[in-house]
Amino acid sequence: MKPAPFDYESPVTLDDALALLDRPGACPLAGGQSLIPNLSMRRTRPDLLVDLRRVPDLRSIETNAGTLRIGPMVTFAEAAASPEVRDACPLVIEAIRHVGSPAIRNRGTLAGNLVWADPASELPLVAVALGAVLTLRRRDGEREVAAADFLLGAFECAIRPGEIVTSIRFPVAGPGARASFAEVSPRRNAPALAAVAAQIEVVDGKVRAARIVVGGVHPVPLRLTAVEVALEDAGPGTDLPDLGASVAKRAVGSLPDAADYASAVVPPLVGRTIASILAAS
Amino acid sequence: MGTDTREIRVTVNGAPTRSTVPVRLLLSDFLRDVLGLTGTHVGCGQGPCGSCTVLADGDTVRSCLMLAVQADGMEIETIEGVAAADGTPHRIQEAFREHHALQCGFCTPGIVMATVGLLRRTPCPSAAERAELMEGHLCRCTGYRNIDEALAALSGAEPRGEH
Repeated sequence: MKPAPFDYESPVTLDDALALLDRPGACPLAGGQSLIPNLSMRRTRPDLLVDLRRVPDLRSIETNAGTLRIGPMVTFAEAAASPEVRDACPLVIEAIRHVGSPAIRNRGTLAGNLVWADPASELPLVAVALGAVLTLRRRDGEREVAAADFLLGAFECAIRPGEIVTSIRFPVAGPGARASFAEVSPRRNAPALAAVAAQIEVVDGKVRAARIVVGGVHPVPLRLTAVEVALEDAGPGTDLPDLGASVAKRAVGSLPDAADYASAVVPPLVGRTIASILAAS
Repeated sequence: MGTDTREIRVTVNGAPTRSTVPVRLLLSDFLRDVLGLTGTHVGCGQGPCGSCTVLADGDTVRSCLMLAVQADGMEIETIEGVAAADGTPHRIQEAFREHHALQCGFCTPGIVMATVGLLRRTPCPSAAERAELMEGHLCRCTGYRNIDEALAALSGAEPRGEH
Protein backbone atom coordinates (compact mmCIF):
# COMPACT_ATOMS: atom_id res chain seq x y z
CA MET A 1 0.00 0.00 0.00
CA LYS A 2 0.98 3.63 -0.36
CA PRO A 3 0.63 6.54 2.06
CA ALA A 4 -2.64 8.46 2.15
CA PRO A 5 -2.30 12.11 1.09
CA PHE A 6 -0.72 14.59 3.47
CA ASP A 7 0.88 18.01 3.33
CA TYR A 8 4.61 18.26 3.83
CA GLU A 9 6.97 20.91 5.15
CA SER A 10 10.70 20.78 5.77
CA PRO A 11 11.39 23.84 7.94
CA VAL A 12 14.92 25.13 8.45
CA THR A 13 14.59 26.40 12.02
CA LEU A 14 13.37 24.73 15.18
CA ASP A 15 10.94 27.58 15.84
CA ASP A 16 9.35 27.13 12.42
CA ALA A 17 9.15 23.37 12.98
CA LEU A 18 7.42 23.84 16.34
CA ALA A 19 4.99 26.39 14.87
CA LEU A 20 4.06 23.90 12.12
CA LEU A 21 3.74 21.06 14.62
CA ASP A 22 1.31 23.19 16.61
CA ARG A 23 -1.24 22.76 13.80
CA PRO A 24 -3.91 20.07 14.25
CA GLY A 25 -3.01 16.75 12.62
CA ALA A 26 0.70 17.58 12.33
CA CYS A 27 3.25 14.84 12.83
CA PRO A 28 7.05 15.09 13.00
CA LEU A 29 9.25 13.02 10.67
CA ALA A 30 12.72 12.06 11.87
CA GLY A 31 14.28 8.89 10.39
CA GLY A 32 10.90 7.52 9.33
CA GLN A 33 11.80 3.85 9.75
CA SER A 34 8.67 3.19 11.82
CA LEU A 35 6.52 6.08 10.63
CA ILE A 36 6.86 5.55 6.87
CA PRO A 37 5.85 1.86 6.84
CA ASN A 38 2.89 2.88 9.00
CA LEU A 39 2.00 5.65 6.56
CA SER A 40 2.19 3.06 3.78
CA MET A 41 -0.13 0.74 5.72
CA ARG A 42 -2.36 3.76 6.41
CA ARG A 43 -2.31 2.99 10.09
CA THR A 44 -1.09 6.56 10.55
CA ARG A 45 -2.75 9.35 8.53
CA PRO A 46 -1.35 12.74 9.49
CA ASP A 47 -2.65 15.89 7.79
CA LEU A 48 0.81 17.46 7.81
CA LEU A 49 4.23 15.84 7.95
CA VAL A 50 6.93 18.10 9.39
CA ASP A 51 10.30 16.79 8.24
CA LEU A 52 13.00 17.69 10.75
CA ARG A 53 15.95 16.90 8.48
CA ARG A 54 16.85 20.50 7.66
CA VAL A 55 16.52 21.78 11.23
CA PRO A 56 20.07 22.48 12.46
CA ASP A 57 21.60 21.26 15.72
CA LEU A 58 19.46 18.15 16.14
CA ARG A 59 22.29 15.73 15.28
CA SER A 60 24.76 16.34 18.07
CA ILE A 61 26.26 13.81 20.47
CA GLU A 62 28.02 15.37 23.45
CA THR A 63 29.24 14.43 26.89
CA ASN A 64 29.18 17.07 29.58
CA ALA A 65 29.31 16.89 33.38
CA GLY A 66 28.56 13.19 33.65
CA THR A 67 25.78 13.26 31.07
CA LEU A 68 25.67 11.97 27.51
CA ARG A 69 23.29 14.02 25.40
CA ILE A 70 21.98 12.62 22.12
CA GLY A 71 20.11 14.82 19.67
CA PRO A 72 16.81 13.66 18.18
CA MET A 73 18.09 13.18 14.61
CA VAL A 74 21.07 11.01 15.62
CA THR A 75 20.74 7.69 13.81
CA PHE A 76 21.52 4.27 15.24
CA ALA A 77 24.48 4.02 12.88
CA GLU A 78 25.87 7.37 14.04
CA ALA A 79 25.46 6.46 17.72
CA ALA A 80 27.01 3.02 17.18
CA ALA A 81 30.06 4.60 15.55
CA SER A 82 30.47 7.30 18.21
CA PRO A 83 33.44 6.90 20.60
CA GLU A 84 31.60 9.17 23.04
CA VAL A 85 28.59 6.85 23.19
CA ARG A 86 30.87 3.82 23.47
CA ASP A 87 32.71 5.31 26.45
CA ALA A 88 29.72 6.84 28.22
CA CYS A 89 26.95 4.30 27.61
CA PRO A 90 28.17 0.88 26.49
CA LEU A 91 24.63 -0.48 26.93
CA VAL A 92 23.41 1.78 24.10
CA ILE A 93 26.00 0.23 21.79
CA GLU A 94 25.09 -3.33 22.86
CA ALA A 95 21.39 -2.66 22.23
CA ILE A 96 21.89 -1.08 18.81
CA ARG A 97 23.41 -4.33 17.51
CA HIS A 98 19.90 -5.79 17.80
CA VAL A 99 18.05 -2.91 16.10
CA GLY A 100 16.66 -3.69 12.65
CA SER A 101 19.25 -4.29 9.95
CA PRO A 102 22.14 -2.10 8.73
CA ALA A 103 19.99 -0.12 6.27
CA ILE A 104 17.38 0.56 8.99
CA ARG A 105 20.11 1.67 11.40
CA ASN A 106 21.41 4.11 8.79
CA ARG A 107 18.12 6.06 8.89
CA GLY A 108 16.32 5.21 12.14
CA THR A 109 16.85 7.49 15.15
CA LEU A 110 17.14 6.72 18.85
CA ALA A 111 14.55 9.38 19.68
CA GLY A 112 12.12 7.98 17.12
CA ASN A 113 12.54 4.51 18.59
CA LEU A 114 11.58 5.85 22.04
CA VAL A 115 8.59 7.82 20.79
CA TRP A 116 7.28 4.85 18.83
CA ALA A 117 7.20 2.92 22.14
CA ASP A 118 7.11 -0.50 20.53
CA PRO A 119 7.28 -3.09 23.35
CA ALA A 120 9.51 -5.22 21.10
CA SER A 121 12.10 -2.53 20.42
CA GLU A 122 15.42 -1.96 22.09
CA LEU A 123 15.93 1.69 23.03
CA PRO A 124 13.03 1.85 25.51
CA LEU A 125 14.74 -0.85 27.61
CA VAL A 126 18.04 0.97 27.56
CA ALA A 127 16.45 4.32 28.42
CA VAL A 128 14.64 2.81 31.41
CA ALA A 129 17.70 0.82 32.52
CA LEU A 130 19.96 3.86 32.52
CA GLY A 131 17.39 6.34 33.83
CA ALA A 132 17.46 8.49 30.69
CA VAL A 133 15.65 11.83 30.67
CA LEU A 134 13.94 13.20 27.57
CA THR A 135 13.52 16.88 26.85
CA LEU A 136 10.22 17.55 25.07
CA ARG A 137 9.81 20.88 23.37
CA ARG A 138 6.66 22.53 22.04
CA ARG A 139 5.99 25.98 20.64
CA ASP A 140 5.49 27.63 24.01
CA GLY A 141 7.73 25.68 26.33
CA GLU A 142 9.73 22.67 27.30
CA ARG A 143 9.50 19.87 29.84
CA GLU A 144 11.60 16.96 30.97
CA VAL A 145 10.29 13.45 31.43
CA ALA A 146 12.13 10.42 32.80
CA ALA A 147 12.09 7.45 30.42
CA ALA A 148 10.16 5.31 32.91
CA ASP A 149 7.39 7.93 32.97
CA PHE A 150 7.57 8.55 29.23
CA LEU A 151 6.66 5.00 28.20
CA LEU A 152 3.00 4.50 29.05
CA GLY A 153 2.01 1.32 27.22
CA ALA A 154 2.38 -0.57 23.95
CA PHE A 155 2.90 2.14 21.29
CA GLU A 156 1.89 4.80 23.81
CA CYS A 157 4.16 7.46 25.22
CA ALA A 158 3.82 10.77 27.05
CA ILE A 159 4.54 12.98 24.05
CA ARG A 160 1.69 15.38 23.25
CA PRO A 161 0.63 16.80 19.91
CA GLY A 162 2.94 19.70 19.06
CA GLU A 163 5.91 18.32 20.99
CA ILE A 164 9.14 16.82 19.76
CA VAL A 165 12.02 15.23 21.61
CA THR A 166 14.94 17.67 21.52
CA SER A 167 17.38 15.58 23.54
CA ILE A 168 17.87 12.27 25.29
CA ARG A 169 20.20 12.49 28.28
CA PHE A 170 21.87 9.41 29.71
CA PRO A 171 23.98 9.40 32.86
CA VAL A 172 27.56 8.40 32.03
CA ALA A 173 28.27 4.86 33.26
CA GLY A 174 30.50 4.54 36.33
CA PRO A 175 34.00 3.08 36.21
CA GLY A 176 33.98 -0.68 35.75
CA ALA A 177 30.51 -0.61 34.15
CA ARG A 178 29.85 -3.42 31.72
CA ALA A 179 26.78 -3.93 29.62
CA SER A 180 25.03 -6.70 27.78
CA PHE A 181 21.87 -6.95 25.72
CA ALA A 182 20.26 -10.24 24.73
CA GLU A 183 17.04 -11.04 22.98
CA VAL A 184 15.03 -13.87 21.53
CA SER A 185 13.53 -13.30 18.11
CA PRO A 186 12.74 -15.49 15.10
CA ARG A 187 15.49 -13.68 13.14
CA ARG A 188 17.96 -11.10 14.32
CA ASN A 189 16.14 -8.31 12.51
CA ALA A 190 12.67 -9.45 13.60
CA PRO A 191 10.84 -7.92 16.57
CA ALA A 192 12.00 -9.37 19.89
CA LEU A 193 9.74 -11.81 21.73
CA ALA A 194 11.77 -11.09 24.84
CA ALA A 195 14.79 -8.92 25.52
CA VAL A 196 17.01 -8.12 28.49
CA ALA A 197 19.21 -5.07 28.95
CA ALA A 198 21.78 -5.36 31.72
CA GLN A 199 24.44 -3.04 33.05
CA ILE A 200 26.56 -3.85 36.08
CA GLU A 201 29.57 -2.23 37.68
CA VAL A 202 31.97 -4.89 38.90
CA VAL A 203 34.54 -3.49 41.33
CA ASP A 204 36.86 -5.91 43.20
CA GLY A 205 34.57 -8.81 42.38
CA LYS A 206 31.57 -7.02 43.92
CA VAL A 207 28.49 -5.96 41.96
CA ARG A 208 27.36 -2.36 42.17
CA ALA A 209 24.73 -0.28 40.41
CA ALA A 210 23.05 -3.27 38.76
CA ARG A 211 20.41 -2.43 36.18
CA ILE A 212 18.35 -5.26 34.75
CA VAL A 213 15.40 -4.42 32.49
CA VAL A 214 13.16 -6.78 30.55
CA GLY A 215 11.22 -5.98 27.40
CA GLY A 216 9.08 -7.66 24.77
CA VAL A 217 7.02 -9.62 27.29
CA HIS A 218 5.17 -6.65 28.74
CA PRO A 219 3.58 -3.42 27.41
CA VAL A 220 6.40 -1.27 28.89
CA PRO A 221 9.97 -2.11 29.93
CA LEU A 222 10.14 -3.78 33.34
CA ARG A 223 12.96 -3.04 35.71
CA LEU A 224 13.72 -6.18 37.73
CA THR A 225 14.74 -4.49 40.99
CA ALA A 226 14.60 -7.79 42.89
CA VAL A 227 17.33 -9.15 40.61
CA GLU A 228 19.37 -5.96 40.94
CA VAL A 229 19.24 -6.11 44.76
CA ALA A 230 20.06 -9.83 44.82
CA LEU A 231 23.13 -9.29 42.65
CA GLU A 232 24.35 -6.36 44.74
CA ASP A 233 23.86 -8.30 48.01
CA ALA A 234 25.46 -11.53 46.79
CA GLY A 235 28.49 -12.79 48.72
CA PRO A 236 31.79 -13.74 47.14
CA GLY A 237 31.74 -16.95 45.14
CA THR A 238 28.02 -16.73 44.32
CA ASP A 239 27.01 -18.02 40.89
CA LEU A 240 25.61 -14.66 39.79
CA PRO A 241 24.05 -15.74 36.45
CA ASP A 242 22.25 -18.55 38.23
CA LEU A 243 21.12 -16.25 41.05
CA GLY A 244 19.91 -13.62 38.56
CA ALA A 245 17.97 -16.20 36.56
CA SER A 246 16.24 -17.70 39.60
CA VAL A 247 15.24 -14.33 41.07
CA ALA A 248 14.06 -13.23 37.59
CA LYS A 249 11.86 -16.34 37.36
CA ARG A 250 10.04 -15.42 40.58
CA ALA A 251 9.76 -11.75 39.59
CA VAL A 252 8.41 -12.40 36.11
CA GLY A 253 6.11 -15.25 37.20
CA SER A 254 4.09 -12.94 39.43
CA LEU A 255 3.37 -10.31 36.79
CA PRO A 256 -0.26 -10.10 35.67
CA ASP A 257 0.43 -8.33 32.36
CA ALA A 258 3.37 -10.43 31.20
CA ALA A 259 3.27 -12.78 28.22
CA ASP A 260 2.69 -16.47 29.04
CA TYR A 261 6.16 -17.45 27.85
CA ALA A 262 7.90 -14.79 29.92
CA SER A 263 8.78 -17.03 32.86
CA ALA A 264 10.32 -19.59 30.48
CA VAL A 265 12.27 -17.17 28.28
CA VAL A 266 13.28 -14.26 30.51
CA PRO A 267 15.27 -16.10 33.25
CA PRO A 268 17.80 -17.69 30.87
CA LEU A 269 18.18 -14.35 29.08
CA VAL A 270 18.90 -12.62 32.40
CA GLY A 271 21.45 -15.32 33.23
CA ARG A 272 23.03 -14.96 29.80
CA THR A 273 23.47 -11.20 30.05
CA ILE A 274 25.04 -11.47 33.52
CA ALA A 275 27.37 -14.26 32.36
CA SER A 276 28.37 -12.20 29.35
CA ILE A 277 29.18 -9.19 31.55
CA LEU A 278 31.23 -11.29 34.00
CA ALA A 279 33.12 -12.95 31.14
CA ALA A 280 34.10 -9.52 29.83
CA SER A 281 35.05 -8.11 33.26
CA MET B 1 -4.67 18.65 0.68
CA GLY B 2 -3.41 15.58 -1.09
CA THR B 3 -2.19 17.35 -4.17
CA ASP B 4 0.87 18.72 -2.38
CA THR B 5 3.91 18.46 -4.65
CA ARG B 6 7.55 19.53 -4.42
CA GLU B 7 10.32 19.99 -6.87
CA ILE B 8 13.22 17.73 -5.97
CA ARG B 9 16.76 17.49 -7.32
CA VAL B 10 18.31 14.10 -6.86
CA THR B 11 21.51 12.81 -8.41
CA VAL B 12 20.81 9.26 -9.53
CA ASN B 13 23.75 7.08 -10.58
CA GLY B 14 25.79 10.22 -11.17
CA ALA B 15 23.19 12.01 -13.32
CA PRO B 16 21.38 15.05 -11.92
CA THR B 17 17.59 14.81 -12.09
CA ARG B 18 14.91 17.40 -11.45
CA SER B 19 11.27 16.39 -10.98
CA THR B 20 8.10 17.64 -9.40
CA VAL B 21 6.64 14.82 -7.31
CA PRO B 22 3.73 14.30 -4.93
CA VAL B 23 5.07 14.62 -1.37
CA ARG B 24 3.67 11.22 -0.47
CA LEU B 25 5.63 9.46 -3.24
CA LEU B 26 8.05 6.87 -1.86
CA LEU B 27 11.65 6.96 -3.08
CA SER B 28 11.21 3.41 -4.45
CA ASP B 29 8.24 4.54 -6.56
CA PHE B 30 10.12 7.66 -7.66
CA LEU B 31 12.98 5.51 -8.94
CA ARG B 32 10.70 2.98 -10.63
CA ASP B 33 7.74 4.98 -11.90
CA VAL B 34 9.14 8.47 -12.44
CA LEU B 35 12.67 7.63 -13.57
CA GLY B 36 11.85 4.20 -15.01
CA LEU B 37 14.64 2.52 -13.04
CA THR B 38 12.76 -0.70 -12.38
CA GLY B 39 15.83 -2.60 -11.22
CA THR B 40 15.01 -1.49 -7.68
CA HIS B 41 12.46 -4.10 -6.63
CA VAL B 42 9.69 -3.53 -4.11
CA GLY B 43 8.93 -6.65 -2.10
CA CYS B 44 7.31 -6.03 1.26
CA GLY B 45 7.07 -2.23 1.23
CA GLN B 46 7.59 -2.36 5.00
CA GLY B 47 11.33 -2.72 5.51
CA PRO B 48 12.15 -6.35 6.34
CA CYS B 49 12.75 -7.84 2.88
CA GLY B 50 15.54 -5.55 1.66
CA SER B 51 14.79 -5.87 -2.08
CA CYS B 52 14.49 -2.10 -2.53
CA THR B 53 17.86 -1.30 -0.93
CA VAL B 54 19.75 1.53 -2.62
CA LEU B 55 22.62 3.77 -1.54
CA ALA B 56 21.80 7.30 -0.35
CA ASP B 57 24.91 9.48 0.02
CA GLY B 58 26.83 6.20 0.22
CA ASP B 59 24.74 4.58 2.97
CA THR B 60 22.48 1.59 2.37
CA VAL B 61 18.84 2.57 2.85
CA ARG B 62 15.43 1.08 2.16
CA SER B 63 13.96 3.10 -0.69
CA CYS B 64 10.46 2.02 0.42
CA LEU B 65 11.08 3.63 3.81
CA MET B 66 11.98 7.05 2.44
CA LEU B 67 9.87 9.65 0.77
CA ALA B 68 11.23 10.96 -2.52
CA VAL B 69 11.19 14.47 -1.01
CA GLN B 70 13.59 13.27 1.70
CA ALA B 71 16.09 12.41 -1.04
CA ASP B 72 16.12 16.00 -2.32
CA GLY B 73 19.77 17.04 -2.58
CA MET B 74 21.03 13.49 -2.13
CA GLU B 75 23.08 11.20 -4.30
CA ILE B 76 21.23 7.94 -4.91
CA GLU B 77 22.86 4.84 -6.39
CA THR B 78 20.76 1.99 -7.76
CA ILE B 79 21.47 -1.37 -9.38
CA GLU B 80 21.39 0.31 -12.81
CA GLY B 81 24.58 2.18 -11.92
CA VAL B 82 26.58 -0.83 -10.79
CA ALA B 83 27.77 -2.32 -14.09
CA ALA B 84 30.21 -0.33 -16.26
CA ALA B 85 28.73 2.02 -18.87
CA ASP B 86 29.54 -0.48 -21.64
CA GLY B 87 27.57 -3.18 -19.80
CA THR B 88 30.55 -5.03 -18.35
CA PRO B 89 29.28 -6.50 -15.07
CA HIS B 90 30.75 -5.27 -11.79
CA ARG B 91 32.95 -7.80 -9.96
CA ILE B 92 30.13 -8.23 -7.42
CA GLN B 93 27.76 -9.20 -10.22
CA GLU B 94 30.40 -11.57 -11.64
CA ALA B 95 30.82 -13.20 -8.23
CA PHE B 96 27.04 -13.62 -7.86
CA ARG B 97 26.89 -15.26 -11.30
CA GLU B 98 29.87 -17.50 -10.66
CA HIS B 99 28.58 -18.74 -7.29
CA HIS B 100 24.93 -19.07 -8.38
CA ALA B 101 24.04 -16.50 -5.73
CA LEU B 102 20.73 -15.75 -7.40
CA GLN B 103 17.88 -17.71 -8.85
CA CYS B 104 14.69 -15.76 -9.49
CA GLY B 105 16.60 -12.51 -9.01
CA PHE B 106 13.93 -10.60 -7.12
CA CYS B 107 16.04 -9.93 -4.02
CA THR B 108 19.30 -9.62 -5.95
CA PRO B 109 19.39 -5.85 -6.68
CA GLY B 110 18.99 -5.09 -2.98
CA ILE B 111 21.66 -7.56 -1.93
CA VAL B 112 24.07 -6.33 -4.60
CA MET B 113 23.57 -2.71 -3.47
CA ALA B 114 24.11 -3.71 0.17
CA THR B 115 27.29 -5.48 -0.94
CA VAL B 116 28.49 -2.40 -2.84
CA GLY B 117 27.94 -0.36 0.32
CA LEU B 118 29.63 -2.91 2.58
CA LEU B 119 32.71 -3.46 0.40
CA ARG B 120 33.33 0.28 0.07
CA ARG B 121 33.66 0.63 3.81
CA THR B 122 34.97 -2.86 4.58
CA PRO B 123 36.87 -4.35 1.64
CA CYS B 124 37.39 -7.70 3.43
CA PRO B 125 34.29 -8.28 5.58
CA SER B 126 34.47 -11.02 8.19
CA ALA B 127 31.98 -13.91 8.32
CA ALA B 128 30.10 -11.97 11.03
CA GLU B 129 29.96 -8.84 8.87
CA ARG B 130 28.70 -10.88 5.92
CA ALA B 131 26.05 -12.45 8.15
CA GLU B 132 25.02 -8.98 9.35
CA LEU B 133 24.49 -7.90 5.74
CA MET B 134 22.32 -10.95 5.06
CA GLU B 135 20.14 -10.21 8.09
CA GLY B 136 18.72 -7.30 6.14
CA HIS B 137 17.63 -9.37 3.13
CA LEU B 138 15.15 -12.12 2.45
CA CYS B 139 15.90 -14.59 -0.34
CA ARG B 140 13.42 -17.38 -0.97
CA CYS B 141 15.47 -19.26 -3.59
CA THR B 142 19.11 -19.70 -2.71
CA GLY B 143 19.03 -20.54 0.99
CA TYR B 144 21.67 -17.79 1.36
CA ARG B 145 24.59 -20.22 1.15
CA ASN B 146 25.57 -19.32 -2.39
CA ILE B 147 25.21 -15.64 -1.60
CA ASP B 148 27.62 -16.03 1.28
CA GLU B 149 29.99 -17.90 -1.04
CA ALA B 150 29.92 -14.99 -3.46
CA LEU B 151 30.48 -12.50 -0.63
CA ALA B 152 33.29 -14.64 0.78
CA ALA B 153 34.97 -14.84 -2.63
CA LEU B 154 34.72 -11.06 -2.97
CA SER B 155 36.34 -10.59 0.42
CA GLY B 156 39.05 -13.15 -0.27
CA ALA B 157 37.81 -15.37 2.56
CA GLU B 158 36.58 -18.94 2.86
CA PRO B 159 32.79 -19.30 3.00
CA ARG B 160 31.20 -20.05 6.33
CA GLY B 161 31.12 -23.57 7.74
CA GLU B 162 30.09 -26.90 6.26
CA HIS B 163 27.31 -27.24 3.73
